[in-house]
Amino acid sequence: MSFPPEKLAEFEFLYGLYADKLYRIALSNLQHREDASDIVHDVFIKYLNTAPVFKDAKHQEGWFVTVTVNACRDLLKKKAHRNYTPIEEVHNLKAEEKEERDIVSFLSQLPEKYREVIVLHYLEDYSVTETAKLLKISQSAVKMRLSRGRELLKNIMKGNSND
Amino acid sequence: MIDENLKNQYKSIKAPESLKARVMADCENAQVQKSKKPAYKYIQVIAACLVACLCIGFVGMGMVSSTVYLNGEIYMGEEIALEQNVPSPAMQRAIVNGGQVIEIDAKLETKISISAGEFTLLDSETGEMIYSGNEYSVKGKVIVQVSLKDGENAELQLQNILSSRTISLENSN
Repeated sequence: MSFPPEKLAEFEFLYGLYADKLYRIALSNLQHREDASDIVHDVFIKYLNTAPVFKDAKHQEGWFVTVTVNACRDLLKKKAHRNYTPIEEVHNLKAEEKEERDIVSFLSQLPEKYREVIVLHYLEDYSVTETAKLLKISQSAVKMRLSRGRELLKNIMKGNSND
Repeated sequence: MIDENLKNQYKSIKAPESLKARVMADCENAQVQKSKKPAYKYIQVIAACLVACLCIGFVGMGMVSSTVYLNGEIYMGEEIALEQNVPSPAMQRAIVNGGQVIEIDAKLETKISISAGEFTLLDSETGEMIYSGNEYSVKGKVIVQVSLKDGENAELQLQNILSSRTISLENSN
C-alpha cells in the first residue's frame, strides 16, 4: 500500500524540529552516542504508534522532551547490561566531537537529577516552570536541584581546569 | 558557570544523519502496517452494524407483531384503568358492563391470557364473539372485553414468537 506523501513530509518536518534537541538531551543523560540515537529513534516510533493529540506546539514539544527524559531514565536503570564506552575514551575524535566530549563530560559527572534540570534549564532554555512540568516535579524542587547542581558543576569544572 | 561558549558547544551537537535515515525507514514501515488495519476495522464495523440492524429489526418486528389499541388509539402503556360503560365511537357493538374496549391487531399468532377474571374476544369486523374465557390464541384483529369483579385487578398478557407484553388492568370499580 502506498505511503501518503503528505504524512511522510509532516513526519519529516517533526523530525527536523525535534531530533537535535532530543539527541542532545539523550546524549547529556547517557553519555553514549548509540544509546542516545536509540532513544531518539524509539521516541519518534512511539509518536507514530500512539499518535498523541496535542493542544498546541508547546504541548507537542513537551511530550517529545518528557518521553525522551523518561526513556533515558529507564535505560540508565538497565545500563549494567551494556558495555559502556564513555565518550572520553574514544580516540581520534574530530574537532566538533571533542567539544561535544567536553560539555557532555562535565554533565556526566553530575548525579542524574541535577543533570536533568541543568540541561533543560540552562542548556535547553526552559523556564523553571516549564522544567518542573517536563520532569513532573515541583518548581521548588527544580530550584533546589538547580542550586545544588550549579555548585557541583562549578567544582567539576574547577577540578577539570586544574588537571 | 555555564558560559556562552559551553552553551554553544552544547547547541552544536546534532543528531547523526544515519539516525534520520533509520527513523524515516521505520516510519514508512510503521505507516504501511497501520494502513493494513482499516480494512479489518471496517469489516468489524460493518458486522457490528449488521448485527445491530438485525437486532433492531427483531425488536421492531416484536413491537409491531401485536399492536394494542385503546378506544381506537394505539396504546403503548403498561397499565389500563378499567371503567364501566365506556363507549367506543367506532365500536358501538362492543359496549359491555365492567369492561373498557381494547382492540388487538395480532399480525402473528398471539396467545392472549388474563391472570384474573375473564375476557371475551370479538371479531373486529363483524363483532361476532370468538371466545370467552381466560386464555386463547388468535391472529388478526380482535376486540378484547375484560370482565373483573369489583376490586379485582389483573394482568393481560400477549405472547407470540417475537414478543411478550403484559398490561396491568386496574379495576376502578
